[in-house]
Amino acid sequence: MMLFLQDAADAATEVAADTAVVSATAVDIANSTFAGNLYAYLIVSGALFLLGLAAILTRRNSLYVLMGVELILNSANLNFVAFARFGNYGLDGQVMALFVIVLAAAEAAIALAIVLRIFNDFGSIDITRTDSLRD
Amino acid sequence: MDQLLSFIIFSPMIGLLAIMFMPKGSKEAIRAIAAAATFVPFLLSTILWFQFDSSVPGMQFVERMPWIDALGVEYYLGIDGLSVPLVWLTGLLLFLGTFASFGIEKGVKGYMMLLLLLEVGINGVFCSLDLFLFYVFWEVMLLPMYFLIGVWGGPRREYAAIKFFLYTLAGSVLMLLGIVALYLAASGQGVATPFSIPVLSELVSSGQLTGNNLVDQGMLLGWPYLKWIFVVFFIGFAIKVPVVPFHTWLPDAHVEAPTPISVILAGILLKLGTYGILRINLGMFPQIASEPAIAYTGAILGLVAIVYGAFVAMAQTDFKRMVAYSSVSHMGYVLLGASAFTSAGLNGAAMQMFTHGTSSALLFLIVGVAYDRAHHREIEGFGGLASVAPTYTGITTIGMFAALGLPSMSGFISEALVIIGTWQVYPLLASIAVIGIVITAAFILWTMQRVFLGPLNEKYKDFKDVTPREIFTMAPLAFLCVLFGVLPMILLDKMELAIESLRQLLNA
Amino acid sequence: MSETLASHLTALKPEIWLTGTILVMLVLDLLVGKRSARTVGVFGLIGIGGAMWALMNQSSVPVRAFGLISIDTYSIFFRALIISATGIVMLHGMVFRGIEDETRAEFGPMLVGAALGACLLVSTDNLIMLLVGMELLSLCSYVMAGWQKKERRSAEAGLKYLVYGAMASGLMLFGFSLLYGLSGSMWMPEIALAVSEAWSLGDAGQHMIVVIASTLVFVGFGFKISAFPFHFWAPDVYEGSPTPVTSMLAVASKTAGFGVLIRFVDTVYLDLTIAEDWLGRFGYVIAVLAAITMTYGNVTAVKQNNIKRLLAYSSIAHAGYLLMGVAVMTTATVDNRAAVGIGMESILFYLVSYYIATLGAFGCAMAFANRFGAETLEDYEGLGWSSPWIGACFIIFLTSLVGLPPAIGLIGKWLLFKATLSVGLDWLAVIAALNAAVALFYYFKIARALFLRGDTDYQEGLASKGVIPGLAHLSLIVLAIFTVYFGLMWDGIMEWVSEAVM
Repeated sequence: MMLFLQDAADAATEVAADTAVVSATAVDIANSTFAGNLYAYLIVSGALFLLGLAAILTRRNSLYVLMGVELILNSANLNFVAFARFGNYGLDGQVMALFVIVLAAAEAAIALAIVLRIFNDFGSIDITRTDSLRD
Repeated sequence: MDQLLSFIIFSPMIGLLAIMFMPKGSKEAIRAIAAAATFVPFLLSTILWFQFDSSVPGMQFVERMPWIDALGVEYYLGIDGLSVPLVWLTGLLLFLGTFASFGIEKGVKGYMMLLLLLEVGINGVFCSLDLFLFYVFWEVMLLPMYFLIGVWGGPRREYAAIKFFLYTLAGSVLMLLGIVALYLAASGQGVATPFSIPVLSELVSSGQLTGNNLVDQGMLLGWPYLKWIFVVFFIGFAIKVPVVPFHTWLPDAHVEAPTPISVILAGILLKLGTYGILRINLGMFPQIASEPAIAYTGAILGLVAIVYGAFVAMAQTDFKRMVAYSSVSHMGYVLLGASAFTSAGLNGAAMQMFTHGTSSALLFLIVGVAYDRAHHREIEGFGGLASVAPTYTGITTIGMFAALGLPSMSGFISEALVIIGTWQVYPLLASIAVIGIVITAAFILWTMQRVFLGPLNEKYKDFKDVTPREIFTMAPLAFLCVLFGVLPMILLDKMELAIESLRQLLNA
Repeated sequence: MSETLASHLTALKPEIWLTGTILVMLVLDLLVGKRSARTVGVFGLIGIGGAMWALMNQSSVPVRAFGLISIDTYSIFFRALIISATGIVMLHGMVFRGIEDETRAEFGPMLVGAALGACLLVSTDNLIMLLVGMELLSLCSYVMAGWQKKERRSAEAGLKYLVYGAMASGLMLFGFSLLYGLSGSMWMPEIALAVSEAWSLGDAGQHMIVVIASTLVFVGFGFKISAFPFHFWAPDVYEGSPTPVTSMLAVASKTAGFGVLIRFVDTVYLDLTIAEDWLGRFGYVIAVLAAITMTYGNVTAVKQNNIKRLLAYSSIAHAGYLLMGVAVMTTATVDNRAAVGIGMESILFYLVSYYIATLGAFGCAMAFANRFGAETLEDYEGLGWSSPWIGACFIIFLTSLVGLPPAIGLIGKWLLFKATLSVGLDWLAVIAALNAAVALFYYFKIARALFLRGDTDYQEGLASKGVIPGLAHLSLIVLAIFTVYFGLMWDGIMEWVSEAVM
């Protein structure tokens, strides 16, 4: 059990780290001479979005669902930054991305606390198996 | 006393607030406050009766002030000859009903509070001249009545209460629909007070309000817009009366309700329905009401109620259920008389409302006395009570004779007026209605015989005669039954001008 | 410059009060220790009172503070509802037995934090601020939903709310990013221009982006207001959360959701929906959603046995009624532009009536839970006789929720129906009327259980004595009086609402 929890915590840290990596990469590429057209970014972010959506819809383990959410947040971040760069829209997009990163971290912290409690109470973090609330 | 009507309507609220802060245990004090709180409006409505000038046409004691400016709703009160007797009857029956309720031991505090709230609603409806206000007061009666039946009623009280509630609510939703439809039409024409009954009556009867601005040519699904409103209002009120297809809630509610509530239900609440028909259906839409087809339908519905109610009453074995169905029959006279549009018919209808209020209230009190002592209401289960309870028998005789319409009793005058008034227009219907009278006489006399005459049922040889408190509640009603039988003009004079103007409207 | 700064800070006085309250409560919690949860709570109440006072003294001249927050009559209206609701919930939270005394002091800052988020959410027309406000509200709500340590259901409520909430905000954020891509701005009026342009001049691809972005954004808002099909979290979360949190979610959170939804629709879409035939379709989609939401909520509520769950479904149904108003706004056409204002007014008025009655109903549910541990309809049988005051208040609130006179709920429904008829959505009005009949049925199950069923004997229960429990009960009675008083004298509310809409 402890091992499992350790995994869960690791996964979340990774996700949070990912967020930072993705946005940094986006800015880097945009500044480089290889900056391609906007569509490349949109395709990546669209793919991330769909992957996240797929994770949310198919996974029943709440950690996977939360990771799916993180993917969606990051796809949005990528969009913000890419649009800001290619549209010469100023800094709003980047600012938004920063906020989202912070929010994602806060959300992950709360999520883990709650998931931990759920695991203690139900012995599982499967959201379909927590069934004390039913019609 | 410019605000006499407001005082009559809201004075029970003071008692209600006083009771609210009484400790639950002090039942005697609560009863005393309730009696005082219902005595005040009774006293005020008696003053109103004498101050009301029956030689002046139109509304009196008018109070009018803006209430909700956004919609043009007014706080608009006033009474005419049609409502004065009913307001007085309300004051009387609620006062007597409070005394009749002294036997109730369960939840006295809540009971009395609800009773007082009920009185506010009833008087409010009779005095309102603004449809919105009318509707609010109408709904104020709904919840207290639901709880009074549902909490203090007999074994099947829950069923009876919800049935009463749903039927009444269905009626009031229809009424609301009618009010909204009128409001939309009137406000669309820029009428400043689109809820005011006198203003709307004037506009409708002069043909200025047709709903042309809302629907093409004022026609909706092949009928004039106003005719729909008329029908919607009529059904809403018919449920309350109740007119025969909508009457099934009444026996259940009556049988399960505690005696004082039956008294108020039969004595006043049913009159709200016929009052609404007279005031709104006939008073606001005279052209539609006097269309031959509509008038004839109304008369037929009244006739069906008379005959059907009488036959079903005859078949009952439960004393209270019998009285309940006899109410259906008696309320049929009001509808029949009102549909004839003759002076005698309308006078009879208005008077029947009052006389039935006294006689049916008395009958329910009588049933309550028997039930208190014997704990059942089977007509067959009694017998020969006259020998052990002479006073009780005497009062019952008056009540029953008033109900069957014996000459010199109030019921005779009103029913005779209705029959005469109908005869002038629909001789056939009037002659069928006479059958109703015969059947009523039959089952009432038969009941008298089974309960009071014949050999004494040994079980009831210790049947106590009525107590002074019971005499106090029943004697005034018995007295009124005789008084208006002998001197009907006391009542008819009050109503004369209001009825005459209604008749002229309808025959214009 | 400093004058501008001062005026911006003045405009944010209520928020500053709330922030200060959070800080004071946190520090106090450390200073006075866990034993004095009540002291902390009292300071919280004082802080909320201060915020309310600052809000009431705010001038109605619009200010855009720091270019992010627009303080206008509209935002004052919504913040007044939110802050006052928070005060009442705070009071109820101080006496709610489901929250352990050791954690009660920490509950306060969370609650005020949620209120702060909700206030920012309804005051902003900038997407960044909108996101921050919404997440502040959401994060605090997730924590509060899972507050009861010893209660499995509470943990489950917290998890469900968090997972579904995070999902919805993720989708909404992606929608925002597309809108940003279209317009290059986070400011709603500029987004509106870009969206209109993309719609009228753009090709099919741009149309699709607008549709996808709008849909995703409405997922986020729809989640907050628990509109069908994003309602599925609400019953579980409402039932599992501690009751004060439930009433916070049902009232303040939903109010904030509608506040931002209406502002967004009004600023971004209305020009479009009014000018183009697209408008009609958009309005019909919302009208259909409204109809499904209210029908689903009401029909499902009928078979519920747990009072909180029943009220949760009823609150879904009320979201449906409120959406009727949004449908009216978006169905308005050039000839009938006034319908926008009428629709908005009717929503705001209905929100007031919903606010009073729902806060009261959950408060009564909490009072019965505190005293008798009653949660289901069977538990409630005959309790009205032991707690006649609370029982009577409950009946009044239910009367208002059904929409019977003389309660304010009737007026709210009346205005909504009138608005719906004025744009020709007759079928929606009919469905709403039928729904009201269904609602009557299940609301009266509560009334029946309280007074008609069970025995009328007095049951002792766990009586609470003291000033704070007394205040909590008093707040219910005051709300009940408001329900009736404003049902009869609603001119003042109407004026306030029209001012907010201007």
